[in-house]
Amino acid sequence: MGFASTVIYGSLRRRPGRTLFSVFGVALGIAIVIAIYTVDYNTVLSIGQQRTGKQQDWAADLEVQPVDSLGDPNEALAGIEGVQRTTAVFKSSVEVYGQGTAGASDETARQKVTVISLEAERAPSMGLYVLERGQSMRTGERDVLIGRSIAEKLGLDVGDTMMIAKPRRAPRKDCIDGELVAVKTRGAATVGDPFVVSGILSYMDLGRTSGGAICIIDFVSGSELFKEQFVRPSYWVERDPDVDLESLRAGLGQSFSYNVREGSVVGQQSDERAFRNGVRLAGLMALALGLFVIFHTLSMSLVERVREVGVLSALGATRPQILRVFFGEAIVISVLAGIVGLSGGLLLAWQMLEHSISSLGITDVVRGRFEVPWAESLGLSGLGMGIALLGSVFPMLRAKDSETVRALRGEDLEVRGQTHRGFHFFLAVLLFAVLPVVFFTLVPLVGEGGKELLSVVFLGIAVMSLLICTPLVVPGFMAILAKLISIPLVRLSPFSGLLAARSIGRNPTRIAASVAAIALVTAAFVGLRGLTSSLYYETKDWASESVEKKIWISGLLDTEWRPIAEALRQEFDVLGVEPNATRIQAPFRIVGIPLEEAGNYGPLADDKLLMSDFAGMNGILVTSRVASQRGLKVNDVVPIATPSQGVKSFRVLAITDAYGYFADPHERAYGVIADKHMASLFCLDTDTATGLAVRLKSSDDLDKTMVGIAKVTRAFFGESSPQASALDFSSGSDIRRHELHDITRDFIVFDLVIFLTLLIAGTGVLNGQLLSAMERVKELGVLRALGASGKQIRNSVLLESVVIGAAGSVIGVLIGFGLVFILVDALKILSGLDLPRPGIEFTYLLAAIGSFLVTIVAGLYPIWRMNRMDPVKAVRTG
Amino acid sequence: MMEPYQRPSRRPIFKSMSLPALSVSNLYHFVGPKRARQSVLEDVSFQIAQGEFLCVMGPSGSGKSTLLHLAAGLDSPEAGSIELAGAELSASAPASRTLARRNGIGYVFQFFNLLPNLTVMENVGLPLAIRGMASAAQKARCQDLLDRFGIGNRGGAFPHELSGGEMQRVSIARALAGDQPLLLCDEPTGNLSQQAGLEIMETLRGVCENDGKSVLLVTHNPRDATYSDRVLFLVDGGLSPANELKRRGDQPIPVDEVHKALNELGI
Repeated sequence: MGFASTVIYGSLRRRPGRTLFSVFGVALGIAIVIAIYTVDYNTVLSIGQQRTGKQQDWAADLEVQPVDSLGDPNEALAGIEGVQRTTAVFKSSVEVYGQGTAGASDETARQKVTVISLEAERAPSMGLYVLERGQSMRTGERDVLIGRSIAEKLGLDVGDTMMIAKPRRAPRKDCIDGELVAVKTRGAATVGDPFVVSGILSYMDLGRTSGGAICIIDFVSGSELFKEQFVRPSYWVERDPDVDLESLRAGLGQSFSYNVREGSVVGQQSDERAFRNGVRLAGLMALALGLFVIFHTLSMSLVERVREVGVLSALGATRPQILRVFFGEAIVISVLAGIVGLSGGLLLAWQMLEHSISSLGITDVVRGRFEVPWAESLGLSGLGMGIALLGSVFPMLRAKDSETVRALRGEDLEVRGQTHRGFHFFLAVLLFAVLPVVFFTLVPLVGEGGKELLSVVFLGIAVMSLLICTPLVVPGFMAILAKLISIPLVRLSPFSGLLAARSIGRNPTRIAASVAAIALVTAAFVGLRGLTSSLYYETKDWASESVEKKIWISGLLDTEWRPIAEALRQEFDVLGVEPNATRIQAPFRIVGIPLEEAGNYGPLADDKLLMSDFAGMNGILVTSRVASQRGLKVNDVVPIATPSQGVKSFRVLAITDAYGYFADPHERAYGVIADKHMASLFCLDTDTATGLAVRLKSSDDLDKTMVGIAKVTRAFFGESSPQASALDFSSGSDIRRHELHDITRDFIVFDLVIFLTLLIAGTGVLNGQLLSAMERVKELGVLRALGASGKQIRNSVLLESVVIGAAGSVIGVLIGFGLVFILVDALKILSGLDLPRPGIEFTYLLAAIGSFLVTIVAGLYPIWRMNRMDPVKAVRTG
Repeated sequence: MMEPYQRPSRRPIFKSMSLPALSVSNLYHFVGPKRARQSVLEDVSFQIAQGEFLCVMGPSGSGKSTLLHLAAGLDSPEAGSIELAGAELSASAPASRTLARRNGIGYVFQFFNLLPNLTVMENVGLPLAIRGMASAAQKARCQDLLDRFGIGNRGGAFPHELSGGEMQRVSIARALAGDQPLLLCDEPTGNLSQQAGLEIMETLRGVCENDGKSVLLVTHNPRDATYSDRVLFLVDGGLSPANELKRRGDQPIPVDEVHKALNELGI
């Protein structure tokens, strides 16, 4: 074996504990971050698949419709942030047949297909379709792209002519003033127009539409083909993934109504983004802490090995040779940590998914799916390894020759202050600047909110690094602290206290590093708990307005709801009843509520002017979540597309959560209009419903009232009727409980990350204590020889742990308390939620106690190792 | 058949065999912060001839170990010159000093300074490993040395498994492994029993006589000094030439003369 390999092998072999815990620290950091990324990757895949599962055909990210007054929609769209590419489009159904093979009257040879007209010069760049052969259509030319199914059925190929005929129209009805009026009668078969097949579509993207029974023609040619018929074009929009959905929606704002393809925006909703970004940031913290631990382990091991460096130098080893030893050792540790971290991370991710833990909370959708994002996982693993390597070699580069002489003189082996300061400055730059930049390059935050969020995140990181690095950069601070701490320790236990105090005083940097690790995790835990509390209070506030005085009846079989409401009014203090039947999705969920019911409670009851505006044509109430997500204020205009009357503009009258909430599906972002508009604009039936929300005068005895309402409703239908048995009831307090429980449950992923991060911090403390024990092996051996009992020496280590745990917990809670505000502000930016700032929580105390206990446990291994030391060997080892 | 040890050809430090193994001239060295500098060595000059055994004696804190560190090129003097077989060492760059140390100097420490993580065999082989010698050749050379010092069967042991005398013999074997012409010994018997100390001194004398090595020994043990060819006394950082003792022919320096000199100097 060569020189470097001999020394490396010897060091790793004789210090298995140090090797193991160094590898463990880095591996755990890497594992957490890989697990989080892999879970998020699979979450988006699973939920995306679930949301698009029902959807057979391809769809654009957004389909928008302009208001009638808008000039050139393409131009208007081009000016909106978040719009990448657009094309005008309209869809219809046509009949096609091959030229010369079937005439206009030959019904059997005609194939019904979907025709999509797209702008020929814009569509190809949007990647809407892929051609199997041939070329795309040309603007204004009668070219057609046909699906595989049509090509096979009609025996057509590129260059052939295909006839496209408008279908015999079914009688068409429009919604005019609440009535469905027939506007056209069924027509006769039409004669087709000739189109030349310019390309055959692959069976993917648009080519899969209607099972391949599709043809695509140019928008201009399509307009000519359908010139005698009413065609309302839409616009397909390809969104810029770097721009938030909310920004895009706000941009589309007043000129367009739109539909979003759900599959294209999995994890992109503001609250989803907030959650995913939160998880990613937790991962970054874990990685940073893992590397912090390895830095200090290796830094401390350098102190332990200064004598070794001195001897090697005295024997003639050059600096590069010694550097190679340390670098080689760091490579071994880093590579091992990388492999263990990668494998452990993937295993952890798999287990998290199997236990329904996703990056969007707890959901069974993710179970059974496990795909590995190899590029990112390997990148993250490499990042952890690379930074661990840099950090481990740096102390060597800074170690001065003079340390060699001091080491050979048998002087106290402490790396000098200047080196420490340089090292910690380097560490701060690496962990708090380089690491986040590289991390966010590999794992970008979701959505453009990232830009705003990043500034908040970096501010948070700066505050934490300042607080945490201060005791590291200024060991004198810790020395003073150690003196103060030593006073009660010495009183408590004269001998053990003195040993502990001296050990702390001699190694202020090591103690500070351990304190910082514990403080960081405690702060993160407190910050997270504060964030959860903030969400908790926000939900509580929402619940007090939206659900607390309500009972929900579900399971109605499209029943006339007014008689039920009347029956309930007879028995209970009912202020109003809201049916769930009248709901549309344009541009967000719009719920229709009956005026005579809603006017009895909430802001509509308090303000007569508001009520009269609401009863007018263009009034809409929006919930606080819609308002904050879309930046809507009172008097803003919301365009709503109607099926036959174009896009109608509604004015925001008030922001309130008092009306329109139904738990299935749970959605807090919606608008409310009078149900008469639902009837006149959308021809929706406002008399029947499948569910009701009953608003009561008071929330007293809500559960008892619910039982009464259930009894009355069942009696209304007849106790033994099928309708009665299909009914289900829930109270506002149920929903409130459920929502609050969900917050706690969804945050389990954070709890898991924090727990693992606490393990890393514990490993850091353990490493520090262990190295301290090893470093003092001779001194402890002498003390044993002088008659000190094992218990006395054990107590000194335990007292050190007490100091680290107490200081780390207290500092952590204080930092965490400040961190809460930063996190809450960050989440406010991301989610648009109106989050309150929480006060002091009981869980903060639990965080402090938990961190303290972990520190004590971390001291047990070094104590066990010290117990195994032979004092005779300790004093004899040269 | 054991493979004969080949001395490395790359030995730039020794210009000529007729030059002194070590030449120290007008050496000054200080320690402490600039405003409160304390003199450790003042105008120290001496030479060690090829194959000579020189002992420097002095009380604790007299600058003996500092002198050795400077002679080994581990530290640089404030003023003065140190030449290793004619090659200037004190003004050299750290890298050159390391190279000179590797090829020209073997070091024996008071506290042995064996690497606790390495076996005896690996410890002895370190200077050869540092030079990049192949593992098999290293082993042969190391086993040879261990056999010579009577610890041939301890090659696989770790330092903490050895007695103090054994540890120091391993340390000397390590200093000789590289076949450097000059051995610097810092209180090599300071941590050993009388018997073990005698054995070590016999060994060092043998190294000087049989191997032709030059030895610079610093000690405060009069008995150890009697094994040398010449004894210099270092008092308060300066040499006292008037009290220099020399070996006469084959006769060791009488221990009484050493005691007498020490008494005269008030040590």
